[in-house]
Amino acid sequence: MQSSNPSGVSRRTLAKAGLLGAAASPLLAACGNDSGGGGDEGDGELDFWWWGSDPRHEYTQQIIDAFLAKNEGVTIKPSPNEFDAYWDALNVSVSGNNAPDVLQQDERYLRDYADKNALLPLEELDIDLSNIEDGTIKTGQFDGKTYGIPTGVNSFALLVNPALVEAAGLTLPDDTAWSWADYAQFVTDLSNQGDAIGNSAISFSNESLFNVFARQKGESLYTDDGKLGFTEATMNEWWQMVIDLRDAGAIPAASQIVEAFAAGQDQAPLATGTGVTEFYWTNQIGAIQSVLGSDLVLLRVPGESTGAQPGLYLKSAMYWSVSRTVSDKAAAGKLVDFLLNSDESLDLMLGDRGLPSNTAQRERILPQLPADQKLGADYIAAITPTLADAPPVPPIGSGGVADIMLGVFETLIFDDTTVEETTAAFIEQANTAIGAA
Amino acid sequence: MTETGAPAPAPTRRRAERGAATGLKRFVFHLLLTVSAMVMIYPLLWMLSASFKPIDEIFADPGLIPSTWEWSNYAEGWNALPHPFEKYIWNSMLIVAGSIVGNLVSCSMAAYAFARLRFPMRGMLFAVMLGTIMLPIHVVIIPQYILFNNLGWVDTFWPLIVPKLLATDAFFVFLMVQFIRGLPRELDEAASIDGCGYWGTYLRIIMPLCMPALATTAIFTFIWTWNDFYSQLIYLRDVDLQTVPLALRLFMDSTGTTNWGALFAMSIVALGPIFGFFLAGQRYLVRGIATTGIK
Repeated sequence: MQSSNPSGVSRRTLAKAGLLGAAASPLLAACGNDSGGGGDEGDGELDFWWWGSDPRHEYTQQIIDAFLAKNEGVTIKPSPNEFDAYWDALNVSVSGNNAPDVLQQDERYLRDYADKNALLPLEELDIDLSNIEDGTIKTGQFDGKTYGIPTGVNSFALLVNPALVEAAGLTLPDDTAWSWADYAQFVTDLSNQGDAIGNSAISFSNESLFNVFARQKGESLYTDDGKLGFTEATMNEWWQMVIDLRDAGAIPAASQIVEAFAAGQDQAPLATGTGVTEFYWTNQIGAIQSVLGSDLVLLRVPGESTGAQPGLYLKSAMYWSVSRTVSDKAAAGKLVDFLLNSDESLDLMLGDRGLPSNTAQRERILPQLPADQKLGADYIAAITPTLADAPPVPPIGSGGVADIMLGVFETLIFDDTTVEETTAAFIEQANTAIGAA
Repeated sequence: MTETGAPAPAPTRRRAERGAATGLKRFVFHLLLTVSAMVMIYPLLWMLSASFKPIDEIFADPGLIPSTWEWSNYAEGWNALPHPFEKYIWNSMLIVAGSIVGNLVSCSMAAYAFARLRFPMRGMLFAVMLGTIMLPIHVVIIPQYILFNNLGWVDTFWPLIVPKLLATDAFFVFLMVQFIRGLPRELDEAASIDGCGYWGTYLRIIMPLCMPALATTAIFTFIWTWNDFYSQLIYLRDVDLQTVPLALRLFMDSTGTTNWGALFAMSIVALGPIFGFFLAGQRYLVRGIATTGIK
């Protein structure tokens, strides 16, 4: 008896297991047939997801209330979140076939989700795009279809603490004509003559800032066909500048740079008053000013007028997207249209999701903007006339390039690699990430 | 004189020396303990002090005493989110209560079965149960999500409570199995002579003796559920159902404005229940762990 059944499992147990399996199979089958969604005749129920912090949660709820007052028969289930948690939750819910109907998207992930077939081409919805510039809309398009509509635009700027410049006995440079050499001189003088560090060096590892630098030389981080679009000489020059700044004492020691980077925007030197300048996106001004407790001045990125062409561009702050499994296309279209184009929406949103992409609304709300958003708006208005074409949409896999750039930057500042080795390492790893090797 | 007098003071001096030596040793020992205690508690004190600071002082001034006491952080934090903060506490409490009841009932039953009953494949099932402890959450999260989604339970509390009723927290099953194995079998036998069946033995003999293990389970379930972020994040997307850990994250924005003062104030509030529960149950916790051989 024993030898005929070495597992010790009785026939009765096996029969039970079989029953259990049979009971489970309808459940498994049910997993497959729920993906139909996306009907025109919807139920009027929308899951609406966004990320941000408490002021954004508050006014977005008010926008939803205003929308519901105008659209009877529609209900909205709002779901606010924090940026990192948002992507965790979205990843699981998309994989689990329960994606939100209307959602906020980011440049880094838009293409990934569009590729996973998770997003609806927005041509299928009735959304008025007449007031949004073509260049702006293009940043949300792949393969001729629109997967995200930009909520607003930002740009890079050098944020400067004017009180610390004065304390160092210096004056602000003329940012319309300054070169990278002028900038290096400026931050070196700041470090040498003042108590605070001239620049905290946490943005030299930002691939978008390097993109500006490359574009000023007529090159670009990525080409239209999804390859790297800059020469080794350009990147060598970039890293050499970092090393020169470090050796001149203009930027902190390597370990402090790494710490400041990890601490995040609110604990980095500019926000704590221990650094005089740093490159940030214009939508970050308000947060930094409130932690710092005093006002900042915006200067253009150096080299805009001394290079082959201006390198700055308008970046889409975030996007509105709709899931392919949306339960009510008509209602989703109305909601996105309302968010983008209505007075009620923009009166509340103002410049919080970037300076509005709807240019008519941008003009209209300009006088209402709070001081910190006005700084960014004025800056963008000043640089807009000279801007070159926007860079191409980053290739798939480019989400990992930020980490690659940070990794090689750290080996450089700790003297583990030379300038040339750093460039070679970046090119090799980035090519692998974007599949262009 | 000197020969007779000399040895006499020697013991006293030695004793005094030894006294001084142990005193010094004890002093150094306490100094070390105090310093390491300060190091351990500093982050907590920092958070407490930050909850009273104006936002432009939180990161700029590393000192623990705020220049002005910003009590408004608490009032502001309580009301800054889509719901007042008590709503999140209430939601968290509901899930915690359901989880504690679920774990106490189901894990103790499963543990009794593993420790005392004889049934086919007991050894293998026990190994499988232990194996589930080692499965990373990432392996099971998507299938689980799909399952609960098909049951229509996403955006309800059920995915967070119902599994607890099915003894899915293998750690607690194991903890209680170890505890029950330590109880003398003679008690069961005596009970069965007196006419107790399995249920009777479980309810009248095992459960009362298991108090320390049950208390440990309750406390750990409280702490882990109260602090759990990921599963609550995934299953509770509706703003009306969100819990304390989710609410605390709503203050944060990595590239935008983070209301640090309010965030730290509400973090202090969120620590309250867990601190109280721990204080109340600490006695049992130590006993429960010390007697199960898990150290």
